[in-house]
This record gives sequence, structure tokens and C-alpha cells, in this order.
Amino acid sequence: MKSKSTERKLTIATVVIIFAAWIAVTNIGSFSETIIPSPQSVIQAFVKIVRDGYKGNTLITHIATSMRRLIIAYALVVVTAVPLGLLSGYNSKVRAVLETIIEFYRPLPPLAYYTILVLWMGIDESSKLALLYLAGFAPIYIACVSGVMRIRADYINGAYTLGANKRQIFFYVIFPAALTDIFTGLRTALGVEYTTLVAAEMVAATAGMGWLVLDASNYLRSDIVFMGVIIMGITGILLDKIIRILENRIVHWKGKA
Amino acid sequence: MKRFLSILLTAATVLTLSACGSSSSSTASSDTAASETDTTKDTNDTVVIGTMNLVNADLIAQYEEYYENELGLPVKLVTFDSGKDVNTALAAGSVDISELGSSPSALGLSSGTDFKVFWIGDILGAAESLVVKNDSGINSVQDLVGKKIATPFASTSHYSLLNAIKSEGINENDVTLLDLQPADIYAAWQRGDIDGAYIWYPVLDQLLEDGKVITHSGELAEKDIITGDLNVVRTEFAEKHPDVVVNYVKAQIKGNNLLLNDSETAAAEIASVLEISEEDAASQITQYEYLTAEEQIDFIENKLPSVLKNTADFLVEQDSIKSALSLDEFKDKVTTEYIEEAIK
Repeated sequence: MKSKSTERKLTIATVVIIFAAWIAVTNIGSFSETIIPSPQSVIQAFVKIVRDGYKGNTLITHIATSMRRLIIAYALVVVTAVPLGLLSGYNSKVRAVLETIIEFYRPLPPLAYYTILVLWMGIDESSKLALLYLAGFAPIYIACVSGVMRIRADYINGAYTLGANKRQIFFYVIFPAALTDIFTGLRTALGVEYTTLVAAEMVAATAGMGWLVLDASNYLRSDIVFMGVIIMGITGILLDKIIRILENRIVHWKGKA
Repeated sequence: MKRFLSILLTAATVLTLSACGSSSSSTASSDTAASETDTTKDTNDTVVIGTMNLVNADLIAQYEEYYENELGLPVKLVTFDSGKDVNTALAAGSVDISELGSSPSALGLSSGTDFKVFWIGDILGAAESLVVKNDSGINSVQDLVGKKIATPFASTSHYSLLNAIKSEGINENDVTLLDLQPADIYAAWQRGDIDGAYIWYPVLDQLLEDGKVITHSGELAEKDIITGDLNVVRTEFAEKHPDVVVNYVKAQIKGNNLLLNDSETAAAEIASVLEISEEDAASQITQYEYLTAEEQIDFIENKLPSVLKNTADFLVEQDSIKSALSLDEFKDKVTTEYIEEAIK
């Protein structure tokens, strides 16, 4: 317990030092506001945007728009990538079909194929969701496949010996055993989707945190860029926390066995 | 408290140590790679020239290799896609002389980046136009109400579009403006997602296949809504290497002379750099206005500061930048000294 509180203090100290360095550097005044905006001007930008909004939308709308895109795409990923991933881990024929496609597109930078998605699906929400979907799909799929393939054959054979059928083995042996890996995939996927958000909001967006940051950078408004990045960072941590809490609830045996 | 301080100290040490670690390892690697050390040394006496491959004397200078041979310093040519990137590079000090649109220039200067405008690459005419679909039912700027129009935000086109709307007394919120990059504009147009776009070559030509021009930057210039492409130099670099800036201007003058006196050869050279057809290049040239050195001096002294001021004020009005420089401050940011030196 004691050691944990030391670590907590270390974390806090790191944040404090970064802030102190930020204040110190900007107060010396050798950098222009464009290169490193001072904490004061970032806070001012925040207050102004909370009060007046940014380019026609309130800050809440910007955050909510991005979250909506993120969550819809994420939900679609979870309901498709988890079953397909588990199935691919279980059945080598399914894997043979899917793995090639996923291995092919996974390393591609999203911007490389975004214009094609726009050509196919238009400039509205669907192309943005598709980009986020593709970004999130691969990590979960791969985690599920490796989760299933790592299950020791004895577990499955043992269950067969005890008279379980394929369906029972899938739901009572494979799925629970792969859960830890699934959650790792869920967390990675969220991170990857989050990093794709700015790219997704590059085309014809008028709201969203990614668009806000891009638009502000068009006008060299580093204060707003810093503010946007900090908000995105914090919301990212919060989303990750939610998944971790879920993980602790659902995979309560993790680290104990 | 003491305990907390000691922890703070530990964290500080860890951070500094890790910083030291990374910096020492990078010096080690540059020591081993001799070529790398050379390039870092060279940055002190190399001039980094930025280009956006705009159709003006810059392309002639590229074709004739004036930059490589006549500037008096080793040259590194960097191509930028947008004024936004040039502004970022200027603020970071990683480009010395560059082309930059009038809107991004006004915005960069107002954001506190220290550079000087010393040459006018071109004044925009029909090169940037508002195009709408033939079947969109739009015949004038007035008809834009309720329509979807795309343009890359923060560009000269964006500035012209907003002003065209404003000058007709239309509320900007009555038109749906979309921030799209040129390639995406073409995609959205093909699919029928947009009714029109304010855009430049080559997407402009592609849209004209089933579209028509409603207004263009040349017409707007008559209403004193002037946009153009400027050439800027970081003040720090200009003070250190004024001769390089003068040589750069000489190269532009030679290029401009070709554009003004022998547009056929100019078109051929531009076509070769951009890898487009000569007819395309020739029609491009007619869509810009190029100024002789004498006209440049007059324009820079009498018109340019107010063009920049109007642009910056407009960006403030749009809530895009915090504040604009004053007219006098803009007068300090433009200079004719390098042109005067070049034509001596």
C-alpha cells in the first residue's frame, strides 16, 4: 500500500514538473506564443470557447460530436471484430480468409485511403465512421485470434472428454479464456481510433475536437491547439479508464491465477 | 512536505537523465554517420527556399535552375502544399524564403511570425474561381443561399468566397461552407455532395467539365478584394544574407520578363516543371496578373499594406485570429529594398 502511494506521488510530481517547466519556459519570453503558448493564454482560450463556442458550435457540441463518432464506430467494431476474431482463432479456414485482408490494410496510414472512402461514401458521417471502424477493427481482431490460439489444448480436450459440445466449448472455455486478450485488444483499438479521429475529421467536418484542432492550426492558433490537445488527452484517459473498470469487473480473475 | 519535495526531486532527476540520455545518443549517432554531420553543419550557410509550385516566375526560376546557380548559397528547395504549412515552417525557422498567399501572409504576420514581404509573385485573376454545377440552379452569388459550397479553409480562396458572399449582403450562415482539400472537393463534386466550390487549378479545370464560373478573384479584385501570392523572407535570414534575397529577386525578375514578353516559352517551361500540357500552362498564365519590377515597387508601397490589413481584419472578424497588426505595422513588414537593389 505504501509503495503505491509513492508511485502516485511520483505521477503527480511528474505532472507538476511538466507544468512548472511550461510556465517557466513561457515566462522567460524567448519563445513566441505561436511556438509555445503560455498556460495563461491556453486557459483564456478555454474560457472563451466555453463561453462563446468555437466557429458556431459550443465546446460541448465539439466534444459530443467526436464522442458520438468514436462510440458508434467503436460499437460497430466490437460487435463485428470480436466474433470474427474468436471464430478465426477457432477455425483455421475462416482465419485463412480474413487474415490476409486484415494484414494487408492494417499497416496502411488512414490518410492514404481516406479519399477513396470519401469517393465511395461521400463527405457525410459514413466515411468518417468507416475510417474509424477500419482503424479499430484490426487491433481487436488480432487480439481475439491470438487470445484463442493461446488457449492450452488440454482445456479444450478436457472439456471434450467431459462431454461438452462445440457450442459449449466456445462459450464456456474459449470465450472466457480469451477475455484478457480481448480486453487488451479493446483498449488498443480505442487508442488507435482516437489517433485516427483528427484524420477522420479532416474532410468536411464543421464540428468535433479533431476538426477544432485542425482548424485552429490553420490559423496558427497554438493556444487553441494546446487546449484541444489537452482536452483530447484527458477524454482519452477517461475512456481508457472506463474500459479498465469494465475489465476489472468482468475479468476479475486477471493476475490472480 | 519534505517527503513530497524529495519525490519531486527524484522525478526531476529522472526526467533530466532521460533527456540527457536521448541527446547524448543522438550526438553519438551523428558522429558515426559522417554525412549526417555534414548536413547539420550546412544548415548555417544553406538557404531553404519554399515553393508551392504556383504558376509564376518561381516555376521559371526552377526550370532555368536560377536558384541552384545564382543565389550565392547552396539551395535546398522544399515544396509545400498549402500556406498553412509554409506558415508553420516560417514560425519554426525551417524555411528562409518562400511563396505564401496573401491570406496566410496576413495571418502569419498577425500571429507574430517575423518575416518580410519583398516580392509579389502574382495577383490572382480567374485562377481561383467560384464554380457551380451546371444543374445546380445557381446563376449568381445571390443564389448561393441554402447551397453547399466547399473550399480549403484559411486559403486565399476561402477569403475570396467569404468576401464574395459578404459583398452581396448575404449572411454567411445561410450558405453551408465545407472545409475540403482540393482532391476531396473533386470527390465530393463527383458524388454530388456539394453544389459548388471556390478552388484553383487543377481541380478547377476538372470541375469546369460540368460546371460554370459564377465569379472569380479577378472580378473581386475590382471590388478591392485583392488576393495574390507573395514572396516572403524570414527577417533574421534577410538581415544575415541580404545579397541572397537580392539574387532571388533577380531570378524572379528574369522569370517575370519571360512571362510578360514571351509567354509561349514561359508556358513550355512551366508545363515541363508541372508535367502538364503546354495548352494548360498557357491558359493558366492568362489567369494571373504579373507585375514588372517598377509596378511591384508601386504596389508594395501603396497597396499591399492595406491589402494585408483588410485580410487580417477580416480574419479577426471571423474569429480566426486574435488580433491584427495595425496598418503601420504592416507597412514595416513589406519592403521594396531588395527589388530596388536588384534593378540598380
